[in-house]
Amino acid sequence: MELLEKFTHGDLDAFEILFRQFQKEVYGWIVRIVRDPRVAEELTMETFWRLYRSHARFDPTRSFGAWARRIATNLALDHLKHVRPEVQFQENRSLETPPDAAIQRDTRERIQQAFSQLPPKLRVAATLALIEERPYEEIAEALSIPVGTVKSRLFRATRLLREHLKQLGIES
Amino acid sequence: MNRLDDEQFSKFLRNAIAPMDEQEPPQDLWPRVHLKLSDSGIRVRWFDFVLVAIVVILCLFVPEAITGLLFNL
Repeated sequence: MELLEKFTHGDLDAFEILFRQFQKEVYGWIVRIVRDPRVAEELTMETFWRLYRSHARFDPTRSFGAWARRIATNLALDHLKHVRPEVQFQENRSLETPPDAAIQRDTRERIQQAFSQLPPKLRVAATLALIEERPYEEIAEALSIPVGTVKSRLFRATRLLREHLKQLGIES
Repeated sequence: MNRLDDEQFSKFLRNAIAPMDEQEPPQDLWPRVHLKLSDSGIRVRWFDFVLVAIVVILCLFVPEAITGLLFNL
């Protein structure tokens, strides 16, 4: 029996193989959205727990990775909805690669603040597309929305960011 | 600062908020996931055992109660 079919029957060994295959990918995707390794760790475990719980509903002819990414994205989005925006970048700054030194620290903080105040749905689309430069199709699949909706969320996010940065005197 | 076009604006954001590097979980998460899966099984509480025991004893000593129980099922 194929691995995915075994998984749909609740085979724990098959699930462990899938876990080891996709653990890094799922974690890497979540950390891009939540930008906090500790939170990403918890959400990765929650994602796989939910995947296993729903094993009977999985169609083995479809991609396990895409399904995992959809569940992971929903969990990451829920997390962003429940966390105070100010906390997110403060906790992660030291864990990211150092940003361009040409941008003053104060300006950088104001941009991060503007970014963190975006509504979560817009922030996820903007983070993945503008910061992480992921393809629109990939973002659309992970969010279970059409590519057109990704583009419209990006448009709204960019407009809000520009307005915010204008108020802060960063962009004219 | 002058108004930037979309590409410049995106680059400007990336300079302020660095993309996350390719990252791996700091540790193997399987043991914790496995534990979570084991813990989430159906738990039978002691109270359920007591209820079952009462029903069995009732059926043994008062067989007439069986019809009453079946009627109420």
